[in-house]
Amino acid sequence: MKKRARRDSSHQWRGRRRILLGALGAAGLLVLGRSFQLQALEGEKWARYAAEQQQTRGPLPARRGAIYDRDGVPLALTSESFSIAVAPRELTDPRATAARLTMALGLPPRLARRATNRRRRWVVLPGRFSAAQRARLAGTRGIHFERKLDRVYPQGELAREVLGLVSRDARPLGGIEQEMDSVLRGRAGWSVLRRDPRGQALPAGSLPIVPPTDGADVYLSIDLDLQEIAEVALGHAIDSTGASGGDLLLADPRTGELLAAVSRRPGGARGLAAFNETYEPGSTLKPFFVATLLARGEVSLRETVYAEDGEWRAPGGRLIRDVTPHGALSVGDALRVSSNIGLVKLSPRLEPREQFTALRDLGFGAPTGVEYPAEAAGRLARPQRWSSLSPGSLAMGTR
Amino acid sequence: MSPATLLRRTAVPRRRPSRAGPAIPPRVERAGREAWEGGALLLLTLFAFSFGLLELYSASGFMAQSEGLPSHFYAVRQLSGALAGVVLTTALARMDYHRLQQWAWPLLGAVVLMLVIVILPGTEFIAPRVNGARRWIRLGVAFQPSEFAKVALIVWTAALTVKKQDRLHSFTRGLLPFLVVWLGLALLVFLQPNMSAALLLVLLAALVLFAGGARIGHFILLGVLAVPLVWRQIQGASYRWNRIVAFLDPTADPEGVSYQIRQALIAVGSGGLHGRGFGQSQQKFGFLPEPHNDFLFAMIGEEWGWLGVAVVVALFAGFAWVGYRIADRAPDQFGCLLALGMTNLLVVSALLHMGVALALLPTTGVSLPFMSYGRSALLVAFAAVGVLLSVARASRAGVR
Repeated sequence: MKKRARRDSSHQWRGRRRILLGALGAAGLLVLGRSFQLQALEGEKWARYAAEQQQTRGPLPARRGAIYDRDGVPLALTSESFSIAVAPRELTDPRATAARLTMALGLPPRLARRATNRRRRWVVLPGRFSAAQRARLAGTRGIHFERKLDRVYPQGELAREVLGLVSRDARPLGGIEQEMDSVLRGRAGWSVLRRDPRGQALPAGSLPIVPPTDGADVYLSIDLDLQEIAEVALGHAIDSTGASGGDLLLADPRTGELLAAVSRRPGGARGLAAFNETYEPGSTLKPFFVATLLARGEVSLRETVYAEDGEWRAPGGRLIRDVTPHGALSVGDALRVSSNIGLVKLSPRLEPREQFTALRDLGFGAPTGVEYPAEAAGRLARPQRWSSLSPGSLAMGTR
Repeated sequence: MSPATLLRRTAVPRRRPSRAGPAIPPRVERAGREAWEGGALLLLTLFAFSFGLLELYSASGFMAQSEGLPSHFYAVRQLSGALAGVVLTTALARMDYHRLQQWAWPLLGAVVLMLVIVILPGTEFIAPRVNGARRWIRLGVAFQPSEFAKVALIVWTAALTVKKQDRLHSFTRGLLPFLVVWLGLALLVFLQPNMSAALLLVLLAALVLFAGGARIGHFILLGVLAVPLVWRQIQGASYRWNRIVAFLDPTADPEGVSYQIRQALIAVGSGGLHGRGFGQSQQKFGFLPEPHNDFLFAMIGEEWGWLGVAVVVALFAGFAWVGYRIADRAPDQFGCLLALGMTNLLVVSALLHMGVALALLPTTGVSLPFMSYGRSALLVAFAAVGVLLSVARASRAGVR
């Protein structure tokens, strides 16, 4: 009877063990199922969450293109250097790395030892290093590089108004730098940086990158030698005349290419004022007026015009003067001596609308399209807004 | 020396039917199949520890570097624990497991003493407070008494179940003495405070008693009585309550109470089917708390994907299968309950650890046996294997 009870008890325990084993198995299946749900069915969602918190984008600046003069003399260059940092705790052999730093960078041994001391987490080496020095350390575990790009102008202040500037945050400030920025700047790349739970980028954690595309170089029509001459000449002219400023543009008449461009203003304004500011054309307008008359057959160069011995009151009462008094002048001579009286007398031969159309067709009152930022368009009022004095003023070039 | 040689030098266990309880009669047809369980157990242990050590190295390298230590620091310490564990396993495997029956009370007494020292005022010099809890004794070597309490309580429960076999159906004469000791021990652990370890202690002991034949009605009654008690304790401490809130809704406060569980889910989920690859975890860089310990399974999920998860689950399923087979074939009831208790110690801990990482359970600090960092837990896991080998050896000797 007792034996039977014991056997029954043994069978009962066996049953309980089966129940326990079954429960453990069920729990194991639950774990497998839940993992499958998280990893196979919702894997993409969790991977996205992971990427959002673990990664951040870091820009990789593109190297800015150089600017040369017409003969290939560099006017603006981008120098590439590297900032080097050491993560001592990533080093496999700090002593060997210290020796390598001394060899490759010429670092004092004491500084190299300090930079590789495992008690420090991150050491930025002082100064900048060349691409050649960087190459000597490439592939060393625990050494990290940051590319630094600086804009340099090897000719100093020469042609500075033409070139403009680039700010520290790589923004173009005027001149060719601004005008040709889309060509010069290239396309920045980016790297994916790992970041820690505080959101700080981990310098060592670079993931796949899109490399930067460097900018293209630009060659100007400027001739550096002529530019230098022009700048000196303008400086002398301003000094000798006591003028407050001046502009000097040197162009190749056959092609229209500018060979030199200088502007000086009180206070040393940046940029070429000759392009950015409007100014009265003065007597330079006279040939365009005479050319228009000739083209329309309204006058011949031999036709005579009386210059009133230097002073003449025009119809309407306006007093016109010539710098040098002249009597009778041919139209050609009136142009040669820049006689205001001679040209004002010819101005009624054109209707205001004809005179306006001719000047507009020649480009007055419109930008020239020179490759320079913020070019002033000039002003040429429409004939409806002209006064009775406007035709005469536009014939001689002054008010 | 192949692992199986540990089982060759056998000594026939001294049978003490009166104390060991009713013997399970050996079945002659089993004889040809007895030998493999011990070898399988050793292979499972070797694989679990080796894989765990690899993953532990990956999980702890960055953390060690952040603390100014070499990246292999934690892995080497774990390896040193494993060497001690191998010695312990060998010793326990060669020992007659019935000695544990004699040592049940002294073992329990020693553990109680250690647990009292841990919480006693004035003992902070050897039991300092770390992160708000006193769980360690530092005597040259630091160890966690609550880990050893698991083994001691399983041994004691198995021994007393055998002794009180005929009175188990009585609540006052059968179950009550167990409850008094379990709850007393659990209270000591609870006061550290370490509620999850206290609950795990009671659970492991209760499973032994359940397998030993205690009345199911008593367990149901105990469960019904325990729920409001545990619930009150959870509500009493804000961090426990926060863990429950985070468990119920892991998306509620991703930067606050749900942070740990959300980070674990991100780790596991982002691993996908095939994982990121060994050493490629991103969550270990400060996102996942305790990636080398409480959330090592989440790391495995991230680096090895669902395949890695399946391997770990299969590994502990193997432990369960082999351990329960050893329990089935044990020469006597004490051996059976001991084997079952030790198997549960490994497998239940592993399931709880995995359940936490997958948000199937509220966050608790249960380590993954053989894999998570922690030499006390590692020694206990090796000790469990040693006891299982001892029972397996005895059952083989018994059939010969």
